[in-house]
Amino acid sequence: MNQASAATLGFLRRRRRAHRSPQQRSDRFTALYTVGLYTAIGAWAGFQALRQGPARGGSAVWLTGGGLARVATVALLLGLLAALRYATWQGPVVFTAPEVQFLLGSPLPRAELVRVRLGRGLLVGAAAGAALGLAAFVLLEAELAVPAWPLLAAALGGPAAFGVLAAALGWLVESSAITARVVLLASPLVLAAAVAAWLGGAVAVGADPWSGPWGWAAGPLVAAAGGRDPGWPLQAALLGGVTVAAVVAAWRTAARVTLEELERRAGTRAGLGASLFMADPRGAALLRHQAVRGLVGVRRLGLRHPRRRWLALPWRDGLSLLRTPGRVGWALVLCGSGALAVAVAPGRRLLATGAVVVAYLGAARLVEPLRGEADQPDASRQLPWRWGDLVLLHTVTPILVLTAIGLAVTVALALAGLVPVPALGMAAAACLPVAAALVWSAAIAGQRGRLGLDQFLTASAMGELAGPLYLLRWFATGPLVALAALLGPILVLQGAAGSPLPRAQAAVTNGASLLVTALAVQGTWLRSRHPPD
Amino acid sequence: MATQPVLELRGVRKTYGELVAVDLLDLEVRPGECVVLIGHNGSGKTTTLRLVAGLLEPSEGWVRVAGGDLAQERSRAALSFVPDSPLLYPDLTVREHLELIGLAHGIEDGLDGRVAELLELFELTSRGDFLPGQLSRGMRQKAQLACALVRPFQLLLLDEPVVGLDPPSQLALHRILVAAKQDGAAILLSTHQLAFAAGLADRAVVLHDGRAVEQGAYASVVGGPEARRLGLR
Repeated sequence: MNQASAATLGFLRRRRRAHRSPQQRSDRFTALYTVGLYTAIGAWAGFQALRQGPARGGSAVWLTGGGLARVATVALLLGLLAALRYATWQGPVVFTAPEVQFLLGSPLPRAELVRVRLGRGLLVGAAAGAALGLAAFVLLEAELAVPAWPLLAAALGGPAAFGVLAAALGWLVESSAITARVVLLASPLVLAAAVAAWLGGAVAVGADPWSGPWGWAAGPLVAAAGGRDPGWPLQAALLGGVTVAAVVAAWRTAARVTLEELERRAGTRAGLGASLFMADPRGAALLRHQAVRGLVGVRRLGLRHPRRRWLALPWRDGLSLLRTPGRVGWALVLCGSGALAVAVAPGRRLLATGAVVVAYLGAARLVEPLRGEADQPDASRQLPWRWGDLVLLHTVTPILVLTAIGLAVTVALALAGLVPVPALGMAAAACLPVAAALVWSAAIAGQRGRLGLDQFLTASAMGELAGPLYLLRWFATGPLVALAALLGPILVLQGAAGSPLPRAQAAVTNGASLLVTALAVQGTWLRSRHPPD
Repeated sequence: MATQPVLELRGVRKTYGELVAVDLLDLEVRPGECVVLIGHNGSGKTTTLRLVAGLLEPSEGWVRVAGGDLAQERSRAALSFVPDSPLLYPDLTVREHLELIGLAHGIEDGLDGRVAELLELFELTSRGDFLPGQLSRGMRQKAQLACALVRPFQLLLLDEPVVGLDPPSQLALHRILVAAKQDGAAILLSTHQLAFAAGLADRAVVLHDGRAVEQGAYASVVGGPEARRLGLR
């Protein structure tokens, strides 16, 4: 680093330190100490609990017989994809807005200023990888009881190196708009291919020399856990080599990023910090959406407007979904997962509860136009409908889309032999009311608008226990409403599984009655709503 | 005038805790009439317009539009509102905004022609397929005005409509509003730009600290003692 850069950064460091009170320093130390202490206690307690639990011979056989390789490989690949997608809008090098304005605007070599941040980003990557590796070590050691030190070294070393690699590749994405665009467009395809390969068992032997860095990072862990992976030294060497190459490439391209890009990311970071501080994940998601929209552009897909007044809002919502097909994709993945879980293990109540929550999350992706309406309720004044009617009209398209998804999933499950043919008609008939219950649950939560400053201040004033519970209630409203609407009918049907025909028919009637009642309550409640303040 | 007022406010009061934003306001606007609200920042102009638009509930008194309260769809359909800052859907293009609003208000035939006409009038034809995020502030304001004018209305509420507009667009808007008045529309306008209001407004109301301190014919109010005392001219 040249003298001017070192002097400037040193001056900034000294000034910042001077403005930090001893109390702030003490608070920061206490926070770090507390996190470290609780992590250590949690890891130890978790380890002991798992160790003293009932023997799980089956799990151990599955893990060492290829299960660990499959899980670790896919988890690391997903982690890398997440890091690369994160780098399309934030990344390992993010300055604050004043730093972009004054520090990067000054006549100092930008590469040196960037490298300081990049070094920090690489360390964070290593720490994140090591933390995940530590968690894996605790779980594996408790389950397998293999020699601890080799497993610990493999669990820390591989993921830590992989974290550094992810951060270095993240910088290469961050510093090139073209690469960022490629990552955004290609990552859903890679994700789909990974899931297909995982489901198809193609990565059963996962940690091979040709399996990519995610497999190389998993290889030593698999070997240390007692699995069969004789090529792990080569994999470790390959991972080390590719990590060093990526770090060198990142270091050399430190000056490549434009000031405009860093300024955009600094602005997003400021908004992101405010959204997260205010417990507003939707605000954060919108910031991410805005940030990447500049990269992938706007889809110019259109839809001819209808000629009937009542179709105006369904048409508008259809346009919105057409331009963001990812929402439909997520709805398909989440609702499909929920349906699959129920079909595979129809008698398990806890699984059914989880399936309803997951399907709710899928439905919530489809009501984004309604959420947008609730974000700026004044805009709805341009439309002639009362708020309650407007909310219901906004649910027409999501219900139809979710019904179509439900029918497609039902057919797929039937083809896979998971839905018996006699039950196919009933399952198909249930798609529409179940979709309506899920979408209306999402609408009940979405029409409230975003968590406002008033609610946040209320939660802050309620103290350390009641405050988080208040916020939790806000976020849990939608899933709880969905559970209230759907769990009753599901439990009634589960209770009648395997019963003689008259009892099964009565259960279907009772379940349908419960669902219709729930829909009537939801619809009436939604129609009575007023715009959020 | 023998015609029934399109807009009636009686004893309207809006308070926020101890702050009185609008205090016992009585106002009528009849078909074909334009009333302009003038006053300093914080005098209650925007609050009055938002009360009329149904975006705020009065603490006391009542508001009637086209003979009914705003819970009735007929009254809501009679009223078109242009807020002080553009409120557009981020995922719809300008053209789709106009189509949505026109369709929602029952224009089933001739909608495309009406949309094209308004885009042309506000020089938005080449930006018709742009999203709001791709437009400048002035362009968004034009789009907001076009949204308000694409559908039929009996009462038009305009809150600082010329802020951000270039002079040709101000002139075009002035012409449209004069034509709308001649067609029988009532207009309630809030502005600091008295040059824009001149030739359009029939009556004026001077608001100060939420109270109507003077109202009457436009020329006499603008040239009157309250407007002079408050430095509004």
